[in-house]
Amino acid sequence: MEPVAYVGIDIQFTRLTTEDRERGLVFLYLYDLPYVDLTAYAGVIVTNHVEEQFLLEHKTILDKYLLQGGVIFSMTEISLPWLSNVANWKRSPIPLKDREIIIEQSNCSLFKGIEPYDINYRKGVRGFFSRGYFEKIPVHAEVLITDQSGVPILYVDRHSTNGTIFAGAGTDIYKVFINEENTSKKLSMQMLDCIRDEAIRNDASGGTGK
Amino acid sequence: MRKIAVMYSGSSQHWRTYKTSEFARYIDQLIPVRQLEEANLEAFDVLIIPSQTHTGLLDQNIQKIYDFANTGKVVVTFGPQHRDWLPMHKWEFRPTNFWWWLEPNADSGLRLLETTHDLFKNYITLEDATWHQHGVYWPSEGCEVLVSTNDGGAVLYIDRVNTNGVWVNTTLDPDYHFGSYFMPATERFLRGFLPWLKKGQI
Repeated sequence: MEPVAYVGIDIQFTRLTTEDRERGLVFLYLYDLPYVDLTAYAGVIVTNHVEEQFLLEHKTILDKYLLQGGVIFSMTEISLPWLSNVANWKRSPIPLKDREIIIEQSNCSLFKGIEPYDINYRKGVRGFFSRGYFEKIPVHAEVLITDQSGVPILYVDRHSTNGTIFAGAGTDIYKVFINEENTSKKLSMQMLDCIRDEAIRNDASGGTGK
Repeated sequence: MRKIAVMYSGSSQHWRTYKTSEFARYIDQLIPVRQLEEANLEAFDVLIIPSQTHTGLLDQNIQKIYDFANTGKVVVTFGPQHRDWLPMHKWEFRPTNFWWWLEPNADSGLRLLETTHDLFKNYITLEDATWHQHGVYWPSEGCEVLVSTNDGGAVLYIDRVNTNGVWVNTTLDPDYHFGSYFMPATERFLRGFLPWLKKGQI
């Protein structure tokens, strides 16, 4: 099982459990980014707990990794242009209690078998999945999640670079549903599976430098 | 008017709360967390340590923050701290109940103890400070508890006794939740709390 990096600063929300580590998730301290070889990982998850200015200062590392066929799954409500072609996050004008998260038809297995209700609500409360959206996405990106107004909330971009970028305008979808007792519980594992599948696909197409 | 500096971690939540929202006008300077060690704080009256601040970089600056407070200045800390570093820090973790308001006869469990304090008399209400809690402090004797839980744990207190400065410590994390647009009360809290820091009676 290839490891997947989970990038963040050191705070309570970013700490990994034994279960996470058994799944191959490895905490990658944000400020260590310049000193690691990202190709050692099947993919890199960037959490919403990062210093974006630091990522912008080290954008070339991420660009190089993508050039080599790397897989980046960003969960940052992004406000600086540190990730290729990912636009700024915008606040949704729809009140959270009225906002419907919609799983779009797709060949991507990220949300396979997950009931929309289960990612819309946690114990009857809406808003955990996302409070925002992307105003603009790359031309060939595949949109996986929208809301009732049609704006993209999560997409996958396999065309802007040699690698794969998943960009989410939401919360930490690896952690937020991990202890739920419904179909949303599967999301964290499916996320890692998707990242590993993309890494294999990119490797097979010659994108990676490994 | 007090001059306010923020230890700025540069996360998306902090970007929106402290740099680009309506609240930016109350902040005189954002000090990037990686530069705090070298920063000169003399010009400031208040230093805010936001919630979800990087543990390691906070650790490197604890003495500097104490030195700042000990010149008679004000330190504000938001949210649960990731290690015990506040003066006479006594913290009790409690699981977060995001759903209390859905229960019949919902009670947040919060109590306003200091109804005549300037912050609550002129700037915010208890409702503006009500969303969820992550735990409580048990401050040392002489500290002023403004908001507590119904069993007496402190959610917002002022410590004038353990250093030569003033510490306003709260387990509430309005800056994080405003910056991720999740808890509407946090907007009301910051609309009152920051003007109070600027010109209120602390």
